[in-house]
Amino acid sequence: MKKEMVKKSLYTVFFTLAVTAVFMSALSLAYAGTKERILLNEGLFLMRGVMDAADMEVPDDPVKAAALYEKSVVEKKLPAGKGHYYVVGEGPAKAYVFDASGAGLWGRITALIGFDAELRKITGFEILDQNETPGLGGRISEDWFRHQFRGKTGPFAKLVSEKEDSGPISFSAVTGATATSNAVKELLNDAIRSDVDAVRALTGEGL
Amino acid sequence: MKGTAKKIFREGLFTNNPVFVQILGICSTLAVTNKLKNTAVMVAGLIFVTAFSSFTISLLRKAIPSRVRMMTQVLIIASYVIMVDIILKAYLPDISKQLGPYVGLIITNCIIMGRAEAFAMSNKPGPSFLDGIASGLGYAYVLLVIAFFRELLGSGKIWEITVLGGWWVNWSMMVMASGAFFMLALFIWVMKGVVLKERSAT
Repeated sequence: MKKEMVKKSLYTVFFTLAVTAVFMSALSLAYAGTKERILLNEGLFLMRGVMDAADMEVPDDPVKAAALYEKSVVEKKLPAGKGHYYVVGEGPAKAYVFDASGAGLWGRITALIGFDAELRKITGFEILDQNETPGLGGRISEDWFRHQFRGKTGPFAKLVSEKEDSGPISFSAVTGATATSNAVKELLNDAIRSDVDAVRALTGEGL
Repeated sequence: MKGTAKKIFREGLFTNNPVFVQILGICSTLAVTNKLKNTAVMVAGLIFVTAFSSFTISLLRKAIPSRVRMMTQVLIIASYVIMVDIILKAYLPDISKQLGPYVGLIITNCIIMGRAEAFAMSNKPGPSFLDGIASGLGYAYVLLVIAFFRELLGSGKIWEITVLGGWWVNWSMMVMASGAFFMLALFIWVMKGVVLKERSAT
């Protein structure tokens, strides 16, 4: 009777171990097989983001897009040494792209903001990652929202409604997503006041 | 066999529908139904996971010790879900980004575990696989109908294409979770009150 119980317990333990080993190996294989592709996707996503923020024409073909990035983008350390920015353009700089991130309504929003060669006007705004409510705050990833920043100067003082015309230091908020829109304003202003200003000072010295 | 398959599908789709009869999988019904495209990917993932996990669990049903039954089921389900996640990340990175954490949450969808316990543990692999597909489809069409109306009323769009013109004022409530409660309740009311009543009367 006792022997049988021991046998049963041992079987349970072995079964658990075996079934775990089998499924974990299968998953590890699947992961190893696609790891490179996933990393490539993520790398390419960032490259496209940087070039879009610099308002460049980016080819759809991944190989061509990566080659263009290699040719025209240089990553540089920020003067304060706490991060990096991208200088875009073959030869003289045509645009500068900066990381911009901050707390959103549900999670962190990470984005890229591009400025022209004089570091005055915005050339593009790209969202890399956000977990805002789909259909509400999530609409900050839509073209109409991101493209409205082109040509503006910031830092931003005011949000206006979706249909209103906005000036150089205001932008249209997403209706029904005021918290997310404010979060975008804050993260843009943070980036402009610290990183962009730091590089402005640097290029000012150089000129 | 043909009769069984018919019965399995009738139960999964109507008389024992996981959403409006068993009231399972409500979390994801509320969370991922405000855009038709995301919903479609999510339900495709769920059908795949339910079918294959039911099949696998049924294959192992005689070997699984009853004390670690649940743990084994969750392990198998989780493996398939992670597989879906990896495939999306590798081949459909845009959709994977949009779905965010929701794919991982398929693991906790009660429908899959419910089918494993109620069907796969006591039936052969073939019917279990069909049962997984039937329950998955039963879940899928409910979500797609809800998503269709939520996206239409909340954003004026169908499958991200604007169909309602400038005159339409987006009903923001519909894209929030609270809107899903109303939609789901309406759906259950219609299905239970009209469709299922007629069936039982005849």
